[in-house]
Amino acid sequence: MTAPHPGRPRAASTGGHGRSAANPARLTAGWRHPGPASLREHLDIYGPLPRVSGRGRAGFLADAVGEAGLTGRGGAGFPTGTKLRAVAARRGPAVVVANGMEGEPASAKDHALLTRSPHLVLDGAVLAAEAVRADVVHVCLPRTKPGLAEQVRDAIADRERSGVPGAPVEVHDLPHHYVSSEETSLVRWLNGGDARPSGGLGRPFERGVRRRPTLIDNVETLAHIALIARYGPAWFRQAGLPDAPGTMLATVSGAVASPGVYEIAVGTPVADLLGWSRARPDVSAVLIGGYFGTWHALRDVAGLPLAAGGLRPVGASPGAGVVVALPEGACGLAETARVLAYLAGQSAGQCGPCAFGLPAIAEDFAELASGRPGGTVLERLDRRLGVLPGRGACRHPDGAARLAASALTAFAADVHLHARHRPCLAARRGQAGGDVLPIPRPGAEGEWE
Amino acid sequence: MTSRLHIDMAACSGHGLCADLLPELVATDEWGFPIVSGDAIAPSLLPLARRAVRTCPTLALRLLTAEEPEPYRAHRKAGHR
Amino acid sequence: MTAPSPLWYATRATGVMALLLLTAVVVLGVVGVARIDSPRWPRLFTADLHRNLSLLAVAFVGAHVLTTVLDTYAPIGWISAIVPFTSPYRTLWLSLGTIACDLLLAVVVTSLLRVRLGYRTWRSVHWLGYASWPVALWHGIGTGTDSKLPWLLAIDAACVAAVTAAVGWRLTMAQRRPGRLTAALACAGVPLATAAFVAVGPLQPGWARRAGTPVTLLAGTAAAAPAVTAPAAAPVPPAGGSFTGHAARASDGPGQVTITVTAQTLTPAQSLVITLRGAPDDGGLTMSSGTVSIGAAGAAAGYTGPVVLLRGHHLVADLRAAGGSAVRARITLVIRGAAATGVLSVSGGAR
Repeated sequence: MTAPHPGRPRAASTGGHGRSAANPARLTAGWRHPGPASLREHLDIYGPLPRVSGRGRAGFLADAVGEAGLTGRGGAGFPTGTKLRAVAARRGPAVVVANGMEGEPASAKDHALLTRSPHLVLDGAVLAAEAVRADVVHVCLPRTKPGLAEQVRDAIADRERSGVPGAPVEVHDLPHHYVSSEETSLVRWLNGGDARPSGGLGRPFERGVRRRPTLIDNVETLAHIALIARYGPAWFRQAGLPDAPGTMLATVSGAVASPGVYEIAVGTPVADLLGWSRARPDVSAVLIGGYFGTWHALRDVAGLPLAAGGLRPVGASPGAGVVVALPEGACGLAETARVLAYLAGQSAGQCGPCAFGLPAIAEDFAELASGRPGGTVLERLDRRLGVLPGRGACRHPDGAARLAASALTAFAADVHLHARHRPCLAARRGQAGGDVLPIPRPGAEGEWE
Repeated sequence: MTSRLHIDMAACSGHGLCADLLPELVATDEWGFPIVSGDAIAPSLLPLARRAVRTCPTLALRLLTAEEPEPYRAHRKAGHR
Repeated sequence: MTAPSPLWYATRATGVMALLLLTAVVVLGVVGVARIDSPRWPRLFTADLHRNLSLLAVAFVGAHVLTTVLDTYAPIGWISAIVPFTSPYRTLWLSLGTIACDLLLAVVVTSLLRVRLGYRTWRSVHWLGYASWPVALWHGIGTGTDSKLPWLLAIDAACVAAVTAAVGWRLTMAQRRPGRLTAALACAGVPLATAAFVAVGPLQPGWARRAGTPVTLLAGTAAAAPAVTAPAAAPVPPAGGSFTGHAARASDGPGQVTITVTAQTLTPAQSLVITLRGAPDDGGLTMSSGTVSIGAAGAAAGYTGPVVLLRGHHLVADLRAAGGSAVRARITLVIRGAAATGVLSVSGGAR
């Protein structure tokens, strides 16, 4: 545990979360206590909101964030400083959108962050608004979690009462479809349309909400911005890797004794994370990156750092920090079939290849997983997986195809058994046990508008 | 100045007229939707390509010049490459 | 007035052709969206045929309009080709044609400029095409002088059947989309409305008059030019007022009656003679010719002229005096038995 520095977050003892100097508690500093940290507690832990404009140059924050090497924590990993500069360079007032939608069913970090440290997110949002000359912040939250919006609104009211400066913040409850968390979906909904991706040629940073340059950042990214503004880029780089600095929030679930949200240094080896979450000894495969990610045999990724560069050799990406451990007793093919059926149902239905192709591969996978597949199912899958990527208005079909392809590789032995009409041991046992991957109740998301 | 075909897949409803006109450039998947390579169009095919743009019932087809960048697909879901 | 000229026949022919082409265009447009594709008939053929036939339809509509305007048989001017409700000939039914023509032009022009206008603008105007077809159909039935001829009825029925079948078939394959309910209602409503219209309209006697054919054209025979008596001095123009008098009805041949109304206005004192000749019709008559004379009481008729419009109780006559000045008289005439009463109003400057 690091000794507290004046003005630096105290490394909290989080019991069992493997805290060390290498894994400081930055975003999670106040998370010992249940419930949201009040404004008072927030200021106690982190210090006052820095006045960026007081430092003179409007580009100060963008430069600091760029120097810090912060990348988007929503899954795409785009350099945040670059994004800030791109929006700030446009003329006219801008808009900031805080993306708290958390479309990945297996992710819980945004929800945890918003319920425990809402003021970190709000600090980051108003600082970003100042940096890009935005006159409003829109916080987008899922409609399926009404309590969340209420908490955030309370925090905002708290700040207003205490006279915390910053652009006005509006909280919105959006439909919670899988693709509704995508950037163009948010813009479209805020402009009065459906929460569906828009395939047109408009780029949000040029023309987004109300045709203004729009900065869209994940809530965790904004929280990191709030800390970089306080402690500087050098401090940010003290954790993580040189080419992937800082900490990140990861959600671990599945065959682990301590599932939950962990703050880790970027680049922490996968095995370490599984160790802290007390993964069961029979874990044989992991899903990295959520349903937009990929399956891997544990032995292939255990030693690899949880970072974009570190995982690239095996074709993986940390995404939004979702890690799901699959025990030996579960059938990866059956789990994937369930997920693909879910993803097919979550298609916005705007593009033919996704609207038709995803249900088709979900059916194929269900057939494969059932243990009695027809002779041509692998050939069909192969053909279909080849034509899905890049042919939609968004990357939803790409993600589903990639997940399916990774399952065929990671569970090749099971594919071999299933194809010979012998259900794998896991499938047989899996029928008695529960499903591992969480699938939201169909229809719970509500409509699209 | 080279041109390439771009299809707005959200506007496309799979009528398939482009594939009829330009089988050299447009293939169809099993559901009738077009697959384009995005490579430069041979000059001899440009008139047909322009006709395809006019004929598309939903105006989903466009000719993009080499300088124009690929339409924006949000990085949120860009994943890894 | 002359008998129908070759131009009149050309108008009717081009009109029927335009209707047939428009029907084909609508049917092709409706079924074209189905993914009917065979090696010998690719989707492209349907799309191209739809486009080419629509241009041909525009050409025929243009010819139809041209022959109508050039023909002097019926008083239809250029303005009526574009602005509805400006034609004195069967105003309502002709205006439907004008409206259909305007809609068709809008559809075709936006389609030619589609790439520039963008999909949404083009599409919303294109939907108007659906409206132009029944409007054109009812224009043809209402305006055509031979709508009750069997072969033309058969053509109309075939067109209605074709479009109804096409729209009905498309409705069975469409998923829920906006406008589906409207389409279903129209699919049932248009044939029924058309059939009802034909039954109570053209198929009934006296349709031409009810449709608004100007009176001078009704029997197709020339109305004699009125004899104008030259008064010694320029007569005082008549003034309006209510009048009373009596009416006499005489039969002067098989299928020919004359109704003569002799009446006086009080202030100023004028005498008014209305003579209507024609075929008896339900207690009144279908007028083939008529004259009105108005003069100072006791003097010879000062202003005389033909009746140009007779509709129910309303009469319009263009009167002239020997000195050349012209007025228009509007008369409301009520005949009960042998008594005639009514109101006369006069406006200077007949058209």
